[in-house]
Amino acid sequence: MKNPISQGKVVLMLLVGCLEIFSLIPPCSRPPRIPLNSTKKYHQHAPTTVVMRLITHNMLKSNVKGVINGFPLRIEAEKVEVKETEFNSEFVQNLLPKVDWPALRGASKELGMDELPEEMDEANKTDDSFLQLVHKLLLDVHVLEGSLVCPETGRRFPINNGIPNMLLHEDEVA
Amino acid sequence: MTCFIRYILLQVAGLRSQGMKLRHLESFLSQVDGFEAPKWGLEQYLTPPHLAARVLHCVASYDDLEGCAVADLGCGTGMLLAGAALMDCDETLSVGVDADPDALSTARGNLDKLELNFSLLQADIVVNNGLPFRRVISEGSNFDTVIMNPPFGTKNQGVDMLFVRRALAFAPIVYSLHKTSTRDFLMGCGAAGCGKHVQAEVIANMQFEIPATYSFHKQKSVNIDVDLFRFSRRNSEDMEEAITG
Repeated sequence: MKNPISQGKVVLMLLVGCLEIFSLIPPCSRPPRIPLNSTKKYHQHAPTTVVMRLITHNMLKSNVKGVINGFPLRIEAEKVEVKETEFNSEFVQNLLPKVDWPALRGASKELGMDELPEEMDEANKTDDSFLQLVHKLLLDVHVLEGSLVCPETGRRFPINNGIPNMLLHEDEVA
Repeated sequence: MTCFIRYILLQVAGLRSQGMKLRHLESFLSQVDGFEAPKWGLEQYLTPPHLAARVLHCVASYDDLEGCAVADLGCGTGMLLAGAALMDCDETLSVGVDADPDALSTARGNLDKLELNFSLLQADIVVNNGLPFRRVISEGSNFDTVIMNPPFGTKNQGVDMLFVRRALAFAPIVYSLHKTSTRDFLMGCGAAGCGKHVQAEVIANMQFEIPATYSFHKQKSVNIDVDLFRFSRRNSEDMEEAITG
């Protein structure tokens, strides 16, 4: 025979064929969220993504030497932006235990946003419209410019382009 | 026979998908800009995308990434954060902290370019009262995971351990890159000086390729052996002692 094809070779060819099919069908990975060849322009002067959310504010305190509590920081906002994001009630519910309620309530007031009840009760925790409001406040309200003010010393921490500057001066370091 | 072939094919497909993810992550991370003018005082080195991708893969394999609130202490230009985002950490709850405004402004550019939603914070991690977080104790911690590449402590000795301790104050699990040459020291000091309340393990050994960055670097690039450490609090009730002790 001029062209002998053994059984082994057939199996091998089949295997290679299968492998090729497999490589043609992308394995079950999620599609990339941002295409690698994204043509979106690099806008250095109009930052949109780096922002201070109220959830971040809720975690921040003033650490100036001698300060006992330093929490919550007052917000003096100059530029605020509200950008809606997708709401997920379960996510917000899980977030609630981490949130300091009076601090969020105060922040909301200082920014002239919606009034929150003084206490959060059990009924609230399952009420979708309530959770939606909390979601908006915690995640959608962005402070771009302004300052955070220490409640005890009045020391101001500036927020520039959405980045709070919490660096301490030399005499404030413990 | 067919079962066997099927099994092999599935294995191959699985490996391929892992490899794809890693490659995809790496090429995504190669878009992250580095330091414009690295500062030796802060030991600023860009984590190579290749290394960052592997670090994040390790973290993900421990299930400490997806849906987690991640913090990066000494985030530099945001390499590890960007990778964590691609691996589906919870961006809105994640924060990058750095003391250097120049690094932060590059980080901002990177986050803008890659359309990521992190918060950034300017704070000094090294000073005692530098991290301005209130302690969330009632329900877990401020963050689920800290992933960081702290200064190796070559210029300022002990800085690496300081970073780990600060991180453990605000997250129960900390992943951190350290020079392999300091491994015994880190392990010997009772898990980075946190006493018996913290468990430390080396989960991977990697190579950190450092291109000539500073004027005193003679060679074109150097490979440094680094360990990926995983620090975890043994018991959250011991936390106070672990951090202050």
